[in-house]
Amino acid sequence: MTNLEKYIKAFEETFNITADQTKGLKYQAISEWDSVGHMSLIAALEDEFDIMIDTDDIIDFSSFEKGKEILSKYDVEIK
Amino acid sequence: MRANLKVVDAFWEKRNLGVCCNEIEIEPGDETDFLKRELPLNEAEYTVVKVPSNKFDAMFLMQDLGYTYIESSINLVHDLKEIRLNPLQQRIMNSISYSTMSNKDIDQLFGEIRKGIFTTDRIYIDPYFSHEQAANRYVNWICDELERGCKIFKLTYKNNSVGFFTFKDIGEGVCYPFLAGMYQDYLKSGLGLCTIEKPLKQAINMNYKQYSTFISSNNTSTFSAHVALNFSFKKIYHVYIKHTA
Repeated sequence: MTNLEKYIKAFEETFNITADQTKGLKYQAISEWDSVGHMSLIAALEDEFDIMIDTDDIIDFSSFEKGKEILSKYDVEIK
Repeated sequence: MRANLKVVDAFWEKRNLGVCCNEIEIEPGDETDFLKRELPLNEAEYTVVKVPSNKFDAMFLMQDLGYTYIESSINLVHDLKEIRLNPLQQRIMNSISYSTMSNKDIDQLFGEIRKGIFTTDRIYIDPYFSHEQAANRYVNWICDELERGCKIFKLTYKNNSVGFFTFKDIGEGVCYPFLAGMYQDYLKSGLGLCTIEKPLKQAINMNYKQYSTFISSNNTSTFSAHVALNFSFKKIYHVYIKHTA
């Protein structure tokens, strides 16, 4: 499984959405992505990529696209 | 059967919203005929009626009398024995502190409220009222509660104020943090859990027995955050409104 597939899977499983719905997805655009969902998503990504995301980055993680940028700081390239 | 309805003259809403307001609380034993007779006699320019969740006859009567359902108010409680957080939540919560607000902090809070950080309450969503009125109502509410002795705290992350919570003693070892929220720049930060976790901590530190709160059904994210922090359901009532002005 590629990093992109793993990244999409984290969104799908956390928010119970399809891969199609992840593109352009932003925080609070769906009811599932609230503060509790946000924590669950971050936990899923930390587990999947074996990283620990800094709080500043957790705050900045405002969209599906932004998340890709943030993960690149942790040497997780999502293409 | 009661001789009179439980009617509160919500005089403070004249200052907040510019209308005379009556708040009526229906009780489980109130008979339909009694309500049909008494409710119209007790209406004001703006009438708010609270209906217990299992009072089905009253729910239909509200419709017959021209009322609009606007929200359900959900009472949740926490026994304060333990705040259960997962490791990630714990890590985030450890990075946020809280402290009593200074006058300058309170001014900042009022500025944040006026920016529109609350957007799900029954005044904000009601087209009869403006968003400015909804915000000023919160400011006035906090001012009134401060005069009555409630405490107010700011939430801080890396020296930045990110939100706030209020803290009120309602007796018998129960506290009621009646209002909390994140500031505009942090509304989408994912840190919202701290507006509940920190007052829980404060309640435990002050040896309270129970934390009680009311959440609007219009605010699903706050409801889910309380569920995540192991609150228990206590009761629910439905809120109906009517404008006659």
